[in-house]
Formats: sequence, structure tokens, C-alpha cells
Amino acid sequence: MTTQTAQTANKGQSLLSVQDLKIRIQMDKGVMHAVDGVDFEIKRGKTLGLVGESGCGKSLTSRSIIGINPKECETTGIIQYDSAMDSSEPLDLLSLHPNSKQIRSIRGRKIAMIFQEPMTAFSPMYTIGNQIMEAIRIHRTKNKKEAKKIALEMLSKVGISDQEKRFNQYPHEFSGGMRQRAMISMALSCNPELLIADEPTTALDVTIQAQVLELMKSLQQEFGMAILLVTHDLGIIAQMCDEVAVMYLGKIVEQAPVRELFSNPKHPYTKGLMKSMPRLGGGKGQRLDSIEGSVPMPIDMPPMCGFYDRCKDRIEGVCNARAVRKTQISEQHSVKCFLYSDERGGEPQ
Amino acid sequence: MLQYSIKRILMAIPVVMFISFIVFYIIQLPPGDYVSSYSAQMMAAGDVMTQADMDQMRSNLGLDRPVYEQYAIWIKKIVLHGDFGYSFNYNKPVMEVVKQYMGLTLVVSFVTMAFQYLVAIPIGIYTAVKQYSAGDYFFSGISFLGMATPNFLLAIILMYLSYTWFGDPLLGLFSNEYVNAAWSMAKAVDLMKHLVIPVIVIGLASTADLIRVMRGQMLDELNKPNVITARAKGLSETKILFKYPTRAALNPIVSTFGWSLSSIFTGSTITAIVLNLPIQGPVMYKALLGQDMYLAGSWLLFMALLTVIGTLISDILLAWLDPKIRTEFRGN
Repeated sequence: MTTQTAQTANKGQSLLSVQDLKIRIQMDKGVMHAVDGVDFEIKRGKTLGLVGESGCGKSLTSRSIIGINPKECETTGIIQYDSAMDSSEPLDLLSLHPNSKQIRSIRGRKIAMIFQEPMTAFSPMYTIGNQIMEAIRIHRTKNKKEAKKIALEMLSKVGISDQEKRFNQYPHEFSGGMRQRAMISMALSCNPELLIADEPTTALDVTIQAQVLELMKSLQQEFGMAILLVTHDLGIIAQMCDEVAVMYLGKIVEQAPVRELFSNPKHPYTKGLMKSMPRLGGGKGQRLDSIEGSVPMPIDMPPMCGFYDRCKDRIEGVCNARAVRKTQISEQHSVKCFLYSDERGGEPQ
Repeated sequence: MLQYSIKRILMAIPVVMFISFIVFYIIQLPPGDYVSSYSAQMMAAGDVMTQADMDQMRSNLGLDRPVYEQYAIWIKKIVLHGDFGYSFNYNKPVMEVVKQYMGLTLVVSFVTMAFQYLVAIPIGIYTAVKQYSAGDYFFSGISFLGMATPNFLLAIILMYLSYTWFGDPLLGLFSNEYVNAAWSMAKAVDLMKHLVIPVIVIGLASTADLIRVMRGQMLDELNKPNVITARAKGLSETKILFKYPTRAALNPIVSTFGWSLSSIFTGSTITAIVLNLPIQGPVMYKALLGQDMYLAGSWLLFMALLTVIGTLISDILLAWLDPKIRTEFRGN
């Protein structure tokens, strides 16, 4: 850890920067633009939340970082990765072949990932210990005894007691929360500098969810890693993140530090999301707002705002006529909406 | 695990007893018995058996007693003396007839089984990994053909090809000069050569079936999240393929392992007749036609036993392979 911080000093703040990421999938009906020009940056030791509803492309975006999307996905853009774990030059992860040794030495070692469904993410055929040790034995030590020692240590770090026994148990002998803890211990077993958490608590009930989030937070402080947190839950974003990117239909529609986004949401979609969240003191019997309509399929979309059909503030002849460009509200707050764009002019009433 | 195995073996005993009774009863069901079919044969040869002769013969063979009594005597002899009765057709004890054919039957069956699994599993894996590739279509085409072609037709085609290409239809399991020769290297090689056609003919349909099952299983497993997890850990694709999807896809294959042995035994009868193989299928067929009841009964009993043992082996193998099932045993 100490070497990591020492080297961090010589490097810039940015750990990972994604530029103009596009993922296209060839379908029977045409080409689906699942991810359409996404930019974001993850800073060392910080947490970026990627929030959006199902199918908006957030999972594809996160998985493209380590190149584990299905081969049907045609991915373009730049994913600039500046590791501080060694003195290597910044590297475009997308330029690496998804099967190459180089990307495999990054996966699990420098960038680790945890998944939504800990039941299916573990194989039912092998013990938890076997599956945790796997990454350690690829990246850290060939020695089986040593690997086991590290694995047991990690299990105790994530709050699993009776590690020796747990080590030899199979995933189905674990409860959901325990499985996700084991998954976290597996991901962190090689001290990664970036943890990608794809809906890490969606499959858990609320109390367990809180525990797991707390655990992630405290481990983040201990290990000094950055987290890319993919979720559809704004509550989790508020609790965990430093910065937030809101995704809709393959695009990031708004990006801001977490306080700024919650106090001053700009995009009609973000506003809608905020209104659909239950809050304390919201008045008894009051119905939650919902965003009307459903997400269109991003196949053969004309150049227009993807949220047009569902937007309350849409401007006919503008929003459905051109593609929206990013507008900078402040230094750290950007939004993709014509309401704030010079191209249309003026602030909305 | 051991406890489970013992429990399962004990449970198999009443099953086998019950099957043996049903087997015996079914063999008795068709009208007539060995004596009547024997007299019909004599008649065809120009000889005449009187009713008294037939009654005499029946009481000699014990066929005049009630079914349950015959069954009791049969079972008693099997359990106490290992005596399965007398084959009327062959004029020998059943055991001797069985022994005569058993060796080669087992050779053909096990080689066929090995052929099925050794061919089907790798092809299944290949066609799943390279789904929709030219290779996939090729093997899929072959396996559909294999499933749809009747055994006897395939046997005849292969015999014809073998005859036109090598000048020998490779009938039977040995060339003439080796049939009665003592075992030697040359005889073993000759047997190998003669095994090629029977093994392909008997095994092709099940192999094709297994390929489809393995391919489907693999396709399922390849899309499982645990494969993505493994990839995210930095494992190489080859290691992932064999450690995760293949391992998981083998379970359903193993669970059918037990039945495949007995289905090879029964499934090979027509092929054996067409190819003139000295194995049990045709013997069993003749025994059933001629109402050679003890021989037929013993074979059927043996088949039932094979199925029971096969299922047992499958279950134990599956318990050994699948941690989930293993935990359930420990729980009980």
C-alpha cells in the first residue's frame, strides 16, 4: 500500500478516463447503439457512481473497461488507464486484445470486479476458497499455502468468521449476504486500484445491503482504491459516491459531484429520478412521481434527444431535430440537454 | 457418501426381486410354451409328437407346475447354487450359454460406450464454443443424420463400402482363420478391425444424441455469470473453458451414463443380426422366439440388473461430481 501511495504522487489525479466510448451490437433489426459516446473520468481513491435504469448501457460500459463484454459488442473509443501500481505509461485498455496476456494481467490484479448475483457469479462446482485463491494464484503467488493464507485473511477482512470452515464450503452453503462478502474478498484479494461494482447490492435485502455498502466503504479507505459503482439506486449513490454520472439510453445525460447533483439537478431525467425517490417528511399518502413512458430501443434512432418522448420540458423542433451536445453548467457539472444549450439559447422558465 | 452408497445398494435388492418376478411372468404370458413350439418344429420336420409325449416332456422340464412355483424354484436355484436354469434351445445350462457370449458382448458394449463419450464430449464442446461456425454446422448435420439413419441401413452401407474399398465386408467379429484360434496379438488386431463397423453402427445414434446434449449444456454454461467472473479474475480462456463450463456441463451427461450401457446391450440386437456378430442380442432374440424361457428370463434379469446398477453408478458419480447433491447427503 505504501508503495502505491508513493507512486501516486508522481502520477496525475486521473486513474481512468473514458473518452467517446461507443458500443454497437448487430441485431436482426439493425445496429443497436447500446453505448453512444460516453465520457467520464475516475479519480484515484474516489468513487464514481454510474446510475441509470435497466438497459441504459451502464453494465456494458463498466465491463468494457476490462474487455469482458460478449464478442458481439463492437467497442470503439479510448479508455485511458494510468496505473500507479507500477511505473508503466498510461495505456489505452481498448487497444488491447480482449484475450491478450497484458489485459489479463490487469484483470483481477489492478482492476477487479464484483457482480450483481453472487449466487450465479460463483460456480456451484468449486469451493469458495478454491475460487478466491484462483486470482491470488494467478497474480500474487504460485505457492498454494501462501495463497490460502491470503484468502483466509481476506475472508476475515470482509467479516466472515470461522474462515477455515467457510473456505472449504460451496457457494450454496453461503447466505446471499455472505456470498457477496466472499465475492468482495475475492475481488480485493489482489489489492486492485480500481474496483468495478456492478449492482453489488441489488440482489440483497435492505439490511444486508447497508452492511455490504459499509464494508465496501471501509475497505476502500483501507486499500485506497477507486470504485466505479454501477447502480440504479440513487440512495446508494448518495451514500457511496463522490461523483455521479446519470446514464440514459447509452449516453451520460448529466454528470456532477454528488452534492451538486442532488441539490441542483438539471436534466429533466435526473429531476424525474429525484422525484421518484421516497423521502422522509414527504407527506403521508402522497404518491411518488414516476417518469411516464418507457425507454425506446436505440436502433436506427434519428439524431435527437433520446429522452424526448418522455420529457415534460421538451421543445418541439429542437429536441427532436438535432443531437444534443454537452453543456458545462459549472466546472464540474455538465448536462446534455437543449434547455441549457447555447444552440437554443436562454434558460428555461 | 459410503453410507449413501450402502443405502442405495440395499434399496436396489427389492427392486431387482420385483423385476425378476415381472420378467418371469411376462415370459410366461404368450400362449404356448417351449414344448408346444418344440412340437411345432418337430411337426415341420415331419415328426409327430403325441399329447402323452408332450405331457411327459412338460413334467420333465417342470413346465406343468403353476407359474409361482416355477418362479420359486428358478429363484431358489439362482440364489443358492448360482444356477439360472437350463436352456432348451442350446441343450446346455443357461450359464454356459451366457458365458460363451458374455466376453465379446462386454467388449463390444464397452468399446461402443467409450467411443460415444470420447467422440461426443469433445465435439459437443467444440460446436458450442464455435457456435454457428462451419465446423458447428458440419457436426450438427452429421449428428442429425446419425440420429435419423436406421442402424441396419447404416450397417449395410458400411459393409458395402468396406467391401468395395478393402475387398472385405468385415462381417462378424473375427476373420475365418481366427474364429477358433487361440488368443494372440494377430487375433486381437483382427478383432479391432472388425469392431470398427459395429461400434460406429451401434454407437452413432447415441453419439449424435450426446453431441446435441453436450452442445446445449455447454451453450448454457458458457453464458453463465460465473464465466464472466472467471474472466474478470484474469484467467485465460482455455483454463476458463475447462474449469467452469465443461465441468458443469458434464453433470447431465454423467447422469445418463448408467442407462447407456443397458441401451447398448438391447440396442445392438438388430445390428448384431445384420452384421452377424457373436454377441448376446441374437441369442436373446432366438430365445424369445423359441420360448426358451430360462435363457430369455436370465438375460432379461441380467438387463434389469444392469439398469439398476447403472443407475446406481450414475447417482453415485453425480453425487461425487455435484457438490450440491453431496451436501444433501451429508444433511440426511
